[in-house]
Amino acid sequence: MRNLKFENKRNIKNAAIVIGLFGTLSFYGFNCAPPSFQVADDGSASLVLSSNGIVPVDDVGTSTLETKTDLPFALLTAEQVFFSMINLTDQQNFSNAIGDEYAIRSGSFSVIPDLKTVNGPMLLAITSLSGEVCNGLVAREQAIADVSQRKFFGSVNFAQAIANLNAAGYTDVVTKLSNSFLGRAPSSAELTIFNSFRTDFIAAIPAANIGQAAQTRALVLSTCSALLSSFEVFSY
Amino acid sequence: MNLNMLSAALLFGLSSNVMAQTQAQKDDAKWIYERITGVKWAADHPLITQAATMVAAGQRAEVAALATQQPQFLNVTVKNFALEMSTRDETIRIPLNDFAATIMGVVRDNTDARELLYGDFFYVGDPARIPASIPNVIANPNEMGSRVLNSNQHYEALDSKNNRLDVGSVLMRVNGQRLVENIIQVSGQPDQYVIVANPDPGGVLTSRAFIEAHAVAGTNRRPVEYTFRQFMCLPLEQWADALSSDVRIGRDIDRFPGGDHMKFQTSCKSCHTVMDGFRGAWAKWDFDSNRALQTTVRQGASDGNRVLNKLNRNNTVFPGGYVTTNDSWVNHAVRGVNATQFGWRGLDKVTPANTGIGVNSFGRLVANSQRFSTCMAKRVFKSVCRKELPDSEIATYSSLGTQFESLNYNMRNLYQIAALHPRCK
Repeated sequence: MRNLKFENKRNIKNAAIVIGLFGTLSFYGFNCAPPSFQVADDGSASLVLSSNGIVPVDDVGTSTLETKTDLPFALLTAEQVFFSMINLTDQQNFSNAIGDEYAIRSGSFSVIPDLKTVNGPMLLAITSLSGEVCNGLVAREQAIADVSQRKFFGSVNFAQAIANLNAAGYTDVVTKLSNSFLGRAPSSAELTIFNSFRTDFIAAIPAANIGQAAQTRALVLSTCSALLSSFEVFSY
Repeated sequence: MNLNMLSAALLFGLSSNVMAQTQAQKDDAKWIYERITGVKWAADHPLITQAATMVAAGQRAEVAALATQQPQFLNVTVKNFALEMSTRDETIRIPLNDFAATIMGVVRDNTDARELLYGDFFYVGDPARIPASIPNVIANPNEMGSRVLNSNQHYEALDSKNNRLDVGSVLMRVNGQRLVENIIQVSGQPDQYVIVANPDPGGVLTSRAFIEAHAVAGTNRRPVEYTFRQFMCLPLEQWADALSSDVRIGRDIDRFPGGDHMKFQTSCKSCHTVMDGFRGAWAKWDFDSNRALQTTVRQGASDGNRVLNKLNRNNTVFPGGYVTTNDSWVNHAVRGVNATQFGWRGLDKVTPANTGIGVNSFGRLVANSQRFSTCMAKRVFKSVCRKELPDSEIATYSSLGTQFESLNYNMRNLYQIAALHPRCK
């Protein structure tokens, strides 16, 4: 597994802009407070064991679905972030580059689940790690010649210039990554941001490099990294 | 509204409801998996799809059980749970150690969690299942000595990300805790470790990590304090008792601090009555030369009774104080609020007992208390639900603790019932 090239790293930095915007969207409407406990009984009365020693389903059933909150209330800690990224991209046999990146960056990750501990260095570390993890994911999918067998990048021709990845193809990538990583389709606002990023990304490529296929990979890598380092991935 | 329109409306409402319920069930399945394994899962992962189907069939408990079979459960959730308890800093930013590996092993093997405090065993990497680059500590006593008993190298190697080990699955239980009696150094040859059985095994309480964290230097009060902090979930100030017996308070504690005996009576004494009563359990334990020391095995800085000098040091501060002559202990945390908050049940839940000899019996007293079960429930709840309940809901922990006992102190099952508890959401 090869390490990130300088150019790719530069593009990941560009992706930080997207992450910032994405993070803003993620926080929007949330007050980041822990959920309040408003139900009167403590639920313990319903926890009667079944014959196999496990709580009977009926006793902890649908009422919990109704009371579930979607507000973020806890932060994933260092190894949780690492293994979440590994798990989401299905790279249990991850590269040394990913392991090394974690070793370098793990000191910036949180060790407690407190949302208030989010800080700049932590976001940079998470972004950096997601870049390396996505590098592994992109490399794996790039190696699959039959595009119909690719999970995320079926609309991408890695051998062609970036102009060949049109808006529809790019939206397909964003949608598939979002569906898998975040468990939901991207909102229209998020799609707008990503498409703006694509436009800005292409505009920033020097004319001499615009025809390079590597730019296609860089755009996809940046997009993957942005989604994998989004707030929803490293919070509950 | 004609019949057709009514049917269409009902059908639309029904199908909308079915779709919404399906999404809710899928979210619920993903939620259970993510809480128990401690990591995020792709919404389209086959296991999540399977789990959603099970939730739809009313099998949430079975989903929770399946989630505990995933490697991340041991390697992330349980590992972090254990690491936090293993050192004085209470941080997870440390490598794997023998304390955490043993807890992971006990959870994996579904054995009685009480043994964590008095069992005569520990866990290492199974030589048959780990890379050859990690030396075999079972077959070679010198490797056991240098990499497990005299350093943390073995566990750090297991934990190395680039070894990509499923640590939880490669751990192997080793019965019989061990200590280094001596290291024979011969010029030009590797050190020869003389390894003997631990005469006072106390599960993770006598692990190298715990002894290093709490028995190093000091006066061996910290092992007592941290045993209660970690396994009873009680900081010292919450079980201090100024009205209890001061007969066991050592000679190094000033009875007239600043010339004021009242200060001792109302402040210092409250912690030392209960703490010094138990301190004798560690009278023979120290951390020296990078390894645990038990004076029966290696005399170290101890007296003729093999009691460490540090237990009786500063003996002129109050010469009338208690002189430690052996490793006996007395439970003085039995009156006032302590009479109820611990739920003492002796050393075996059968015979009442408030005295004992050594760490092993001390561990048995703690492990068989009601408070231990409640504390484990509280810790597991926090570990899996990522939050703590307000004090007004302490009954929830008690309830989970009671179930934990009825499940034969099976930690894996405790994780399952905690994750399914309505308050976990």
